[in-house]
Amino acid sequence: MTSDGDPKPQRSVAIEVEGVSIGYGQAAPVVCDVSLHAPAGSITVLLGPSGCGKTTLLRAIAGLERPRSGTVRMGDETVSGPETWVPPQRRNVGMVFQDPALFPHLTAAGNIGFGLRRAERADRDARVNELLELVEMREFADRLPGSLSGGQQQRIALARSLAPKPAVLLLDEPFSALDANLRTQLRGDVARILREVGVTTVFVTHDQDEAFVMGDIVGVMHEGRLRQLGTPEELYRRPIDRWVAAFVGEANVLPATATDGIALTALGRVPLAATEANGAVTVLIRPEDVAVGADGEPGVVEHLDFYGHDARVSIRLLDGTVVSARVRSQAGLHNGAQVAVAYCGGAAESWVVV
Amino acid sequence: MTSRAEAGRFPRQLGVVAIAALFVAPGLLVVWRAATFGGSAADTLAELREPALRSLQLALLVSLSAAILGTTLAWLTTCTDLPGRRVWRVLLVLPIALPSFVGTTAILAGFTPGGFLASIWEALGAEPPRRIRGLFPAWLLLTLFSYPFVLLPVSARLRALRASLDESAQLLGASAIERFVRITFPQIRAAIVGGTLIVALYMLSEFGAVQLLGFDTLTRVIYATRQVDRATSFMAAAMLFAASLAVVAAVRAGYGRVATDVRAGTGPARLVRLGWAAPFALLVCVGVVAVGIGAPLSSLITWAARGIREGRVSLGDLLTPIQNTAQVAVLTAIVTLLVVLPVAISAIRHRDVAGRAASVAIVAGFALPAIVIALSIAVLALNTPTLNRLYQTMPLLIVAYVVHFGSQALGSVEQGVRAVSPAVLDSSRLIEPSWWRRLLRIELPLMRNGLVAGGGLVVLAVVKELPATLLLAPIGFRTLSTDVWASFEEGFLANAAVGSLALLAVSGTLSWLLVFRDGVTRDL
Amino acid sequence: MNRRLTLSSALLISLVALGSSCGEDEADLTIYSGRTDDLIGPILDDFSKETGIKVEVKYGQSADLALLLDEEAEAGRDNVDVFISQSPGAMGYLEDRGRLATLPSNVLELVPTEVRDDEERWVGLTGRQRVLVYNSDLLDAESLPSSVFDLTDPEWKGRIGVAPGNGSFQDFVTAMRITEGDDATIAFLEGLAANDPVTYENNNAIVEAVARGEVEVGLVNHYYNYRRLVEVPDSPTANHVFDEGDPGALLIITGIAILEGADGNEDALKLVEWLLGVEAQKYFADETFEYPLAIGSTPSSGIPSITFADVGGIDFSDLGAGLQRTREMITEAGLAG
Repeated sequence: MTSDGDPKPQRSVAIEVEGVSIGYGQAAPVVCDVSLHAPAGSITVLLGPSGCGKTTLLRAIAGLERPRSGTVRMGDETVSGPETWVPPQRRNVGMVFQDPALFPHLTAAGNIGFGLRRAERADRDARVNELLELVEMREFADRLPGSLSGGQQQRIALARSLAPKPAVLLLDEPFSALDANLRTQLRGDVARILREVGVTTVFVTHDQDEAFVMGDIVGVMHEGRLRQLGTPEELYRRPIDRWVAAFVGEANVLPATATDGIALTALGRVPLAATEANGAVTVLIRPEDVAVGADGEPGVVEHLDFYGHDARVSIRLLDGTVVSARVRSQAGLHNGAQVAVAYCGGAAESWVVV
Repeated sequence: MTSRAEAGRFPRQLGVVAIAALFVAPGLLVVWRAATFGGSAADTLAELREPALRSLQLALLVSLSAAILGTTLAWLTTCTDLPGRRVWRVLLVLPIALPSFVGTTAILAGFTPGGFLASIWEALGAEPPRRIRGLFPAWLLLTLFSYPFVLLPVSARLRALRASLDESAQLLGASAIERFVRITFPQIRAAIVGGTLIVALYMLSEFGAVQLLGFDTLTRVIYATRQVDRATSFMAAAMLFAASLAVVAAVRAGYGRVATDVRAGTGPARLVRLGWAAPFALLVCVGVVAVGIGAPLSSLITWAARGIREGRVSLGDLLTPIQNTAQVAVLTAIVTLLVVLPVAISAIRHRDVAGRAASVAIVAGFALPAIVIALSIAVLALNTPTLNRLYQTMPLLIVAYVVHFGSQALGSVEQGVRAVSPAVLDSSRLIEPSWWRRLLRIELPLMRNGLVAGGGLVVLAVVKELPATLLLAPIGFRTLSTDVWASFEEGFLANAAVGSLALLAVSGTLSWLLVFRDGVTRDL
Repeated sequence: MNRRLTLSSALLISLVALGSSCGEDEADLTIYSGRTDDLIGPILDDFSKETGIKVEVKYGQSADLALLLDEEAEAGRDNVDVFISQSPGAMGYLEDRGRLATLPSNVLELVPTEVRDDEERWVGLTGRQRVLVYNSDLLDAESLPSSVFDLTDPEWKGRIGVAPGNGSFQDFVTAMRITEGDDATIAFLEGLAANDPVTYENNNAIVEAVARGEVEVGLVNHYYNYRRLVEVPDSPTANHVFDEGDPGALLIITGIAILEGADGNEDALKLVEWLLGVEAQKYFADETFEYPLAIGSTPSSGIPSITFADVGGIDFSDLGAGLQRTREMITEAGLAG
């Protein structure tokens, strides 16, 4: 990215969160002993249901909340610790909120230029134009926020937060107020922009699709704790427990008995990732790993959801277990149809039953 | 659907125009009288130059200081960790319940030897001030009596601001001061301007305090010449009318420039720490309350106590004035709402010219001194055979009040109308075909907060009103304010003090119940 | 919010209901009174209690009420029976406009001839003497002038309080015109104006200003200081009476009249007689510190006695006439507020 408007190059730093707890008064902490590492230039997503503490953690990184304990480091600098506190205006952090929070009395360009007030006028104008270009909002430069659509407002909010070249960018569910189509499109655009800029980003969402599309690393939070941190692939394939497995995607969780890494399930034999597993286990089988065809365990189609690109079938097996399967074609499938199902994936994740 | 709306437009606009005419009529009558009365216009204008300049001077100075004081106090009690801010929030709006003539008289008399204030000065080893006259005391006292008109809307606005705006600015590197100047101030500017407009108009029509303090403004000229020299009287009234119209027009012209955020937020996320500045902030609050409320109250309580102790005051005498005051105030509030609501609906929901013109007319009504409205209406009623029988009856008194105080209700009623969103209107049309049942079951409940606040402000204004009541009240109709005024004039301090305290109790209770408690203040 | 709303509505509705339930009865007698409620209300209540005659009173400034009565009469409304004035000026205005009825001789003869109308259209109720109120902390009684004319001396520059817009001051100027002539009056007014007196709206404001020391002396009616001493016993204010016969020592008559069209009203006559009766006259003397005017009544102890001859033999009925010219003279001298 060129930076002729401002001689200072974009500098992104790693974020290090260590043992951070956040809470008020005597109540149970909202965020409990969370540690995470976001490498410089990466996009880290905090994923979790509402009330899990992900937004509070984000606000603590920004400096809008003060943790009860733990430290936050940005690059080499400790911004929050037992003896250290850097106020938000000096953290060089950009943030986009769920509501765009554009200053209603300033134009789009005025909003973007807000954080650049110490720059020369010419530099500022150049930088504002650069960002308007980046978010593809050039022709809206002189519009007031009130006359922009929700998606347009978020583009300006993003540009505003990027304008001062922050070392860290924080996004707090920026797309949640938008409708589905717009959301998908904007999500793609933002991901492209963030990679282009290369700024270290922490992104908060409750939407698993969004998390997987945007994130280099995804942290799943639940009840104030960070349950699992990993790449989307890891989270999907190797969730740490049943809760994470179900939260990051659709899951068939079947009881089974394992013998030397092979589990005997209602779907038949399933190879386990844990090759030496023995005894009672729970096996995670993703619906796309269930094949519906002529071979396998017999069952009856109970329900069918058609999505266009594929379909989801619920099938009741003879023993009463209901499994979900993703199928490309629904030819021959209808409620009540007699089918056979089989496991067709690789080594599956499993947990020992205790 | 469209055709029905079209068909309904004409009568509605006609009604709104008729209401506008009611508010404009006294002003036009004044202008017409001023234009057609004999005498040399040039001489009269030259004579009025000084008083006119004084009126403008007072309006300008008090508006400015009330705007600064009101905004500062609103910010201190809403956005900072000022110690005891919940108590201050209540105490600091109290001056709004005190009529300026009561406050001024109590302070003036309190500084005479033997008065409560003089004894405090003496106890502190200081010589009590002898000369309390002219611009400085008028400016000081009227600022302390009028800043709540700014404080209330600004506090409401501050409480409704979204925290994310401030946080965004903070993350973009703005310091606390910078955030106030560049983000908060533009957002509360409209509220400051609206409150200051009320103060400016109030000062242009202020009568009691300036008269007591010997500061000769146009209102005092009108009062002094209303019998001897009606040409001058009406000329002065016309000048006041012109000045206030100019103020209103200027404010309206500048009003729309700032885009504000109408979505209600949760207010400041974190309170600003005052730190070392806290004692100074406390000192400002203490000073304002001590002079604006403490000083008048202490004088009033001293006299009342002495009068009651010596058996010179009969509390039973207060019953009739209290009842009369409550009665006329409530009736006026109801009529005002009935008159103002269609205008607000027309201006906001239908955005038509008639509605907007009528709301300007209503605001202008506040700028005409009550005594001028009363004179105009009296003259009009006496010279119009059909209206003759209404003269000195409750309806005509209420008309005068409505014209003068319609503007007090307008802002809140507009907020009420805005509370009914177009989506709600559309969906209610589908569910409930009868327009009046829609009004009763859906719209009025939604508008309730705005209407109650508007009505409450009118009640408060009527309770405090003096000159129009003196002129237009039905025979034998004594209100608290006319009783208090007469008692002060004849030097019956104990009676006046007891009456003033009753007046304060009525207006204070009403304002607390109807206007200032949290729920409704937001709509102001 | 709901509970508060209900609470306040209930409070207001009950007050309104109370208010409308009383005072519905038709009154027998309608009075416009320039005397305030404090100065006459209690004695009117006594009148109603004693005679059973219900009265309705509209209080206001004498001049306002006179003007109102005239405008109402012009418009053909004549529902008012009795006018009580603080000022002969306002009374004279209505007399000139032909709005007052003649009074029977038995009523007129309740007061000395000096304090009733030659045209027999009003009688005096009480008298108020013009005095110079002074601050006794700042001035000695001996240093005070013997004539009001001495106040034009430059030594009094900036030390005098006056109320040129007030009826009592205007009556005093009219009296001076009658006894001393217009030229002398104009000279006095201009001399007074040259001393930059501080102007106030009413007598009470002057007494307060004198007490505070804002001015040292003030031209007022006598009873304001007595009133003040009741309310504020340690007030450093005292009355100084100018020499006998001085226009500054004028006795102003507050009068009562029956309005044209109400002559037949027996109740109105009863009221006039009653207000000149022993009980009412004693009330005026002791409670408001005025001079009672009915033959046989005496002023309150502690108030210097006065003979009506002392007031300089002014024909009081002339005080009303020429009020307009008096006001012009005051304005032209540069005194009006």
